[in-house]
Amino acid sequence: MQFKDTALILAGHGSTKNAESSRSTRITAHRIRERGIFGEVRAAFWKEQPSYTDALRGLKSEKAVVVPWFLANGYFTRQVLTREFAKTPGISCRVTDPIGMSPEILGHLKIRAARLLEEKKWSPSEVSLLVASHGTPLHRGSRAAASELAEKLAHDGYQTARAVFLEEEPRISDWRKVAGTGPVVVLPHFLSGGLHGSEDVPGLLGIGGSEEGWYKFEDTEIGYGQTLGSPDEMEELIIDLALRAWDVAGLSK
Amino acid sequence: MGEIVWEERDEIWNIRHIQDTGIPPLELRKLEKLEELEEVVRWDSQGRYRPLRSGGNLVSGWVFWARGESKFREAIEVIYPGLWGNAEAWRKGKLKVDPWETALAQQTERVQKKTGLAADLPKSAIRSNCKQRCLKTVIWGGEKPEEKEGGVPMLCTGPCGVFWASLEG
Repeated sequence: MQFKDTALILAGHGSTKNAESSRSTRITAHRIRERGIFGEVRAAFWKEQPSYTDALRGLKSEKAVVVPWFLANGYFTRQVLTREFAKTPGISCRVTDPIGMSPEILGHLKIRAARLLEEKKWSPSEVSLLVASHGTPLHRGSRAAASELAEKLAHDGYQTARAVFLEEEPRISDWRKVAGTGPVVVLPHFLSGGLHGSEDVPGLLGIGGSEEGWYKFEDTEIGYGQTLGSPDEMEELIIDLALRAWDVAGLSK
Repeated sequence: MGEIVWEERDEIWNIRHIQDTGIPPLELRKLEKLEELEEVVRWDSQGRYRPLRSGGNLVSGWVFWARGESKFREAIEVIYPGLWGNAEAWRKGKLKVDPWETALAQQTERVQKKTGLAADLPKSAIRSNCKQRCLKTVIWGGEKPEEKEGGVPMLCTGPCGVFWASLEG
């Protein structure tokens, strides 16, 4: 399937301090471009170049599907992206749900948990599971997305499956109270390249690394999963999101 | 354009740093994939992150080979994202500029509060930030672009992430 008259924009946040923040977004854009499905493919950012507006301006296409490189609906996806992608005359844009709202994300978390359990030859009933997310009192989107994922993961038979947060209760730092005794699998609900998943969450858990694997903590063990958003996992997911937007919006007409 | 130059022969472009003009391609690091180019432009010569791709600190010592015009344009997008499109829009008289007041109103409350403490904005920040590190012409701040033969003007249409970060300290 080809959409040569449509551009695909991957809209991320970016960072002026962290070099890894936009890397996966840019690499994924290159990979999707190579496949020749869309007429043009761009990555664009709030904090880096190109800005959302600049990314649109150089396009030959008059239609663009914008896929937010965010985990949940919130201030950026609902207000900033909607506003920014509505203001370039001559280009009709449709902003999809963020990548984190795709149903595939649950599968990606399950794969991480399964890898960790396989390493120890444990079953879900022998461990607790925590989805570690951001959360913010300013918008319920982040909390809702992580809580919903934890509820769905609970069906796999873990001793307990809960979401814990950086900025809301229950806090990641209180993981022992939430998870109880015994080994814990912690799945970061953060995008790769960000400091929360690579530094903040491991720090709050008290583990000495952020690579996927098992870490000793006092009398127990913590299995820390890989962050979300690797180009390998996002490529197909983004194409699906964009193509669904195409159908819903009737962009092909 | 900025710190790069290019040559085209038989639909094959070679792009390199202006400091590497005249150096035989075999003496430069050969890049053919956009992902490789992306890695090169991400760092300065000291290995520091370059969030501002239009900063005057593009590393030299490489040559990117682009087969076909579309690959050439994509390479320019990696080196100077968004700026080719801005130049085209400006030449057509269609370049839209974000006025300071509009751009400020679209920032988060936290940024607006911090910005409110700074004096003589945006001129002071253009002087201390943009003109110290960026190659773009700040047309939203009143600068006039110049068309040079064979060149592509680098035009700034509104305050960027690095601009706001400089105000946040």
